[in-house]
Amino acid sequence: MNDRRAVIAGIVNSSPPFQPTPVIYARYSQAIQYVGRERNAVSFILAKPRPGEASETVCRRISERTGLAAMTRDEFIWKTIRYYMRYTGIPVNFGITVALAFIVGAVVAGQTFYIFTIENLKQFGALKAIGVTNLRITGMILLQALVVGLTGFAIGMGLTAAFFESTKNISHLRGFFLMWQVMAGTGMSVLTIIVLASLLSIRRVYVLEPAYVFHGGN
Amino acid sequence: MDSRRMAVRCRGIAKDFGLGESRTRVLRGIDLDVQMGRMSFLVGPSGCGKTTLLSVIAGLLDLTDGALHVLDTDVSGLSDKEKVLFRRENIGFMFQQFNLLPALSAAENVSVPLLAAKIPRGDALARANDLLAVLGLTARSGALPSQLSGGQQQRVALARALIHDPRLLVCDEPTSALDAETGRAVMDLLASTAVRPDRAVLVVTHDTRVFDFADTTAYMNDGRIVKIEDKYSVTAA
Repeated sequence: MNDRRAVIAGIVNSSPPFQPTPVIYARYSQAIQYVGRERNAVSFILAKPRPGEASETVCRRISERTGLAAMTRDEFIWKTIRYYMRYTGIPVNFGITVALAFIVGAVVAGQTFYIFTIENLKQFGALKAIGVTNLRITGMILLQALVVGLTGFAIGMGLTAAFFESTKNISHLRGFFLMWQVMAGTGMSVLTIIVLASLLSIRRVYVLEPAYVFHGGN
Repeated sequence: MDSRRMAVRCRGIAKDFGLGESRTRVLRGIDLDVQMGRMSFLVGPSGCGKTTLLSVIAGLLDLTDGALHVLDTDVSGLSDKEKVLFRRENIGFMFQQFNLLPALSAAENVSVPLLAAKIPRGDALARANDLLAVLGLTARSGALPSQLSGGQQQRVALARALIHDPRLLVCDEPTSALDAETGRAVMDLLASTAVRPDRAVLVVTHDTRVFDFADTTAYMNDGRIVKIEDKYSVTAA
């Protein structure tokens, strides 16, 4: 590197960064031999407190002595997240993708349930005429929606998990994994979508006159 | 006529649809009695108000004016919730298009009124299978509606209408979607299984092929009863 011989001592099993630049970890004394001395070349220095010392105390001491910003692990995580949120398009692009997925999912599911209800309006009218209460019909629709939603969620999550399992040894995709929080969040989204979609259909059944079932005119 | 055997008593029934300028009077002072133990027909041209009258009698539509007693109950005085319970316990329905639930088997469809009344599923299905056997559908009890012929579907619908032993059975054009032979077979079955001394059967139809099944026929036109024929009165005369 930079006309100097470097020996790779180990490969870090870390998440790939957003930038394509390779990351090399080295002692500071070695690093300046590879890149040379530049003004403001250092972004940050990792420090580890001695056993028994609190990170907050060490950070405060560093700041007092050097006048530089010193942060604990959590403070650094949130500063990084805020940086990406404020200065890059990543959150907006990701947010738009997720929002579009949610909206498309809600519209498609809503329309599907609504069409299902309209197509079965006669049957619902017959049930109401027979003496089935609105509450019972609501329960039927919600149960059907839950079964459909759960089936779709299980298939989707199963395929996602299978994808991550089958690609776990591909170095380009290292660092991508399925977190339980993502699964839980997706589950909540699916639940919200199917409940919203069902409510749209249920409203149509609630206002349905049971006499509708006698469609043959007066 | 013995009033204790009267299933339905209509006096001056009127029914309007719409509001303001678009208000239309569909029933114009209906007086009608439907007797227990008989098959009564309500016939007339399309648009004469017979289905509306059937809906009012069955508690599916509120009347605008008049007095209506069904099975000795003032239906117009019932709340919506009471009407649901009243229908569930006392009235059986047969529809022109059968309206069976497509995802349920014949036996499951028949058991719906019992399930609505919170009868345990096992008991409901057992009773449904027994009734399907009476109607000659034992071999088809597990079939979906789409796997049944029109006549079989209407027999399943008849079983569904009778499963909870209603005291009033209302049928809306039960043979209109069937060919002549199947229609008469369904009416034969209706007459032999549904008509009992403690039950009234009210059929709305314009299918002249089955008029001879009626014990009493009320002819409607333009929202009014214009003529009533009673088979027994004619015979007596």
